[in-house]
Amino acid sequence: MFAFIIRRLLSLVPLLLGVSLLVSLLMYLSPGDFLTQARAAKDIDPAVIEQQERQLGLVNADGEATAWFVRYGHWMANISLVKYGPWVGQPEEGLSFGWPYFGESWTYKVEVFTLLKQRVPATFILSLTSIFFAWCIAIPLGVLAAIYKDSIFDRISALLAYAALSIPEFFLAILAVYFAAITGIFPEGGRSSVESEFLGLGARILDYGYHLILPTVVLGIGSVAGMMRIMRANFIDYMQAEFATTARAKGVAERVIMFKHVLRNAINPLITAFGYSFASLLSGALLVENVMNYPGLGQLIYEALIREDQYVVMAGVLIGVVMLVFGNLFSDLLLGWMDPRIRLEGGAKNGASGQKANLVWLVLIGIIALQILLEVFAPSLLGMIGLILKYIGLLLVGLLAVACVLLVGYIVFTLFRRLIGGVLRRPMGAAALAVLTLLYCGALFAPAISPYPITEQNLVKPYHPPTGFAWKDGALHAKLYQKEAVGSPTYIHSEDATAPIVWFSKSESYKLFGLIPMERKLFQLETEDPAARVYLLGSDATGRDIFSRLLHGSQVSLSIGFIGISITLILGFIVGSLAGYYGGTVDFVAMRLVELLMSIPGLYLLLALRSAFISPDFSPTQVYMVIIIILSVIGWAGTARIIRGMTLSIRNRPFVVAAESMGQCVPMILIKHILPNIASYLLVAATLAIPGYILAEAALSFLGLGISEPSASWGLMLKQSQGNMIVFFMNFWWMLTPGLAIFVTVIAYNVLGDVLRDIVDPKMQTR
Amino acid sequence: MSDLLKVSDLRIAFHSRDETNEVVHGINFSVETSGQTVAILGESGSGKSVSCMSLTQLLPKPPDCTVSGEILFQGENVLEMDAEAIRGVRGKGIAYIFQEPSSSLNPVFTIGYQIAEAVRLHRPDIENVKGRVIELLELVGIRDAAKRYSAYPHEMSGGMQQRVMIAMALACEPELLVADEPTTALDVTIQAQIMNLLRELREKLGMSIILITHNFGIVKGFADEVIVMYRGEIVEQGAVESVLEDPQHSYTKALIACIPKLGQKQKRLSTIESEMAGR
Ligand SMILES: Nc1ncnc2c1ncn2[C@@H]1O[C@H](COP(=O)(O)OP(=O)(O)OP(=O)(O)O)[C@@H](O)[C@H]1O
Ligand SMILES: [Mg+2]
Repeated sequence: MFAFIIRRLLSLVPLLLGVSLLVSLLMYLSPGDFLTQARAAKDIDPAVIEQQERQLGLVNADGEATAWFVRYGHWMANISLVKYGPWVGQPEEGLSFGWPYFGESWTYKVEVFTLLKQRVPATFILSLTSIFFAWCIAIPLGVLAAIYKDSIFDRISALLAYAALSIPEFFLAILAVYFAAITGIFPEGGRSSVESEFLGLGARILDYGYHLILPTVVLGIGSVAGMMRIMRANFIDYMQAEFATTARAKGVAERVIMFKHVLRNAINPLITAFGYSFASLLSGALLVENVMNYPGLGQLIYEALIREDQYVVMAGVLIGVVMLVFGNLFSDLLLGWMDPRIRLEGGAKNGASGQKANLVWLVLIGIIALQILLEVFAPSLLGMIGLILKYIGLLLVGLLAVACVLLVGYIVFTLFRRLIGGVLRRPMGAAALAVLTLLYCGALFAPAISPYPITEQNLVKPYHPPTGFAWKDGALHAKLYQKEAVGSPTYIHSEDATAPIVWFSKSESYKLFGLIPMERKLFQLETEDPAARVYLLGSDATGRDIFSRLLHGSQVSLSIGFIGISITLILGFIVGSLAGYYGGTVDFVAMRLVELLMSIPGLYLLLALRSAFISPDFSPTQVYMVIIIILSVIGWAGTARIIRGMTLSIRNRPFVVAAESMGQCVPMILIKHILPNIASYLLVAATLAIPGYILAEAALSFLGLGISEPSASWGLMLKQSQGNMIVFFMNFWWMLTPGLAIFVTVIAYNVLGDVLRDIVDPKMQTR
Repeated sequence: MSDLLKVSDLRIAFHSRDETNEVVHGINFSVETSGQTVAILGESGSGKSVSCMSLTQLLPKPPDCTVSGEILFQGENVLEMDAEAIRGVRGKGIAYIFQEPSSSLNPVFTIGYQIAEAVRLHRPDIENVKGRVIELLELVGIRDAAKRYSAYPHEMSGGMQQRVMIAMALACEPELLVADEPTTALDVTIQAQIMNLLRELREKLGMSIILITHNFGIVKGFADEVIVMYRGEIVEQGAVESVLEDPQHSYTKALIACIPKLGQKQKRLSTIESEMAGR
């Protein structure tokens, strides 16, 4: 076991090397140079900059900025324990010992290490408490739901699990802040109270704990649902296991069987999931910490990324990876201790595969090294290659996207025709389908339904509440509101102040589906007053109609999942089926790549890629495209893994062997024989994966890194409420409707996916 | 005469979402006291296992599965017992050895612990539980019993696992032992060892045995009475010799013809279908 731990820790070295290299490359690719920014900033002491330039090799002897890899080299030299003088800015040559030096933070104006020392424990404790919270809730609930299967309790807890799975973490965080603001029971954010400094030790710890409660609950709830479902499914499986019957036949009491024999077995997959849950918690922490203003690692990395605080990002990401690896290691050790069948191998058996895994890293590092060489010796060539690659890439991606959507659309259509009867026969399925149809219709006809253009401001009516209606003179009238007093945030409706609604009336011209020119909208207000509006869902800070923005925003949020999953499916199918079909080295390389992608906390990768590839002068459409591409590039890994497994099981069936023996080529076999056999599983997996895309886009836009103003997207609309205490204190609940929209969409997809899974294969477990 | 076990008109049905599937259609049989051995034969899926599981309510609970009829164990109706009472019958009255030893043992507990659990439940008077477990392991012929006490199931071979199952059943000191195809998962040489072991133990401890099998070969010389089931019904019942000599039902004849006879060369092994079609 000791050998096992050592080997695990050793494998950390290439991982850290690769990740740090990748991060610094991405930071270099992202527009803007941190050194220029630091020099331009008024509040940074030139002496500090000068010292940094020397110690971290930011400029060469002539005072010109050095290449990114030179900086990377210097950074490495600085964090190593043994230091070589000239590389760390010391005049004298020779080796010396010293603590790792991570550089200086430009934004916080302290050493990165000092910053990490404050932030890492905060996130670490938050992750631990929320895992602990999740386990304490999920295990008992899952067990009870399994024991009382199909009872009212089971139904209710399944419903709650659905809800918890479908609610975006940042929206939950907003709700929590809202709750805290209204009730005043909990602090609205932060890690400690203002007076914390003056408290005694005990009181201070209590104060920390008090501030930890809400973030813990918010962060934990997402994992509770997943864990609970795993627990329930496992428990039910093991309740019918033969060893349970054996114990029953011995005369053991039912209670003992459940809580000893079954529980000990059913809990193992949760322990395996522990490592992964750590990864997703780190992603979640980024959002939750941001919304709740909890000074942790996630918030730190996010802000550093935005402000190009290079050395904070590098160190933060490294610490994140280390925490992740330790989480995995811990869960492996725990599992080895809980499950006697698992022996932790430290010896030669896994050594070969470990070396192969390192090979993948070596290849990656080799590619980057090649890039460095080119940059040194032939910078113009590199630029040209980059340009050519970019255009070829854009063209390919465009074509691929169109092909993917067509193909997947066709498959979905044919499959759906077969399954639709089954879906409609189940009430849950029919309801989910109806909701989704409604949402997509809303998105399609958004320009016709929405009464106002999304950018039309109405500065005299900020935070207008939803309009009421009245029936007058045989026609529907909308009530009109006036501010209670100038500057007051509350509106009052004075009697008789109404305006009639006219249906299909003329307004400004627009294009339906981007093609058909139209002039009439579903409904308009007929009034002389230019500031009078009908606000179905209220207005935002600049008086824009939230209902209109919601509809237009749905075009982004709803299509992104669909297009993203199409690309993901095709990529996943190509990689997964080839890996499953050929096995051996192909399989090995593909699966290591998949594991690599899955082990990096998704949101951080998303952020890094996005800041590398989106420059500020992109148009909204371009941003939209790039986001889709990034999402699918990150997302294909899981799909590829599922498809590989399925291909593997089909690969040796007689009909595949027969096709092979007739000399059919591999692509033909994959498409004609393997695809039809896994298509329905893919449909299920895709349906359950779409929410991930919707949530990721929302999160990105919410952080201000996705779709940006004045365009609309659900995540972006929620951003207005973040940190905006007036929204909470004045109870402007309608500002939160985009969160509800996300929630409804996601839950509909989840329900539909589950119903489809039930029809395709009742025993299949996708999660 | 008072039987140890008397089953009359036993019917078992499974219910799924929209259909009901009766797998046992009213069977009657009995087991006398004093070490009688009854063999139940029948092809796969004929309802042997479910019939025996119903003896101590081990089948799924009513919405999924219903059992009707009467099962008298030592004069009391098992089907009407509550959870507490049935636990008194399980193990102490009727103990089981299941078909698949590898999945019938809990993988995360040591075999010693699993046997000790049975000892503690049914012989609370024994103080040295560990000693008793080792005794039992020796009884079923496991070498190095003291060392094996803390072994996990996956560290043992199939034959040893089955011995552990037998030891666990014996730890309860049952009146009636139900051995559900105790040798199917094992290879031929181990099969013979296990059957010999059961024979030995029956003589030593004087318990009755219900042996489920689809192999007439091992019934001969082991059981006193034989019951032949076919598609959920008993088609033939009687002393082993009389059934073997003069089978009435065509299915029984087919089964008997399937016994490979030593020293007799056959072109190919007959299957049940071909035998039944031939008659
Ligand atoms: N839990 C269950 N749910 C539904 N049907 C069941 C269940 N258990 C058994 N059955 C059905 O009951 C019938 C009898 O099964 P049983 O296990 O008694 O057969 P068997 O005679 O023991 O066969 P084998 O020799 O293969 O063990 C089978 O048709 C089986 O499909
Ligand atoms: Mg059976």
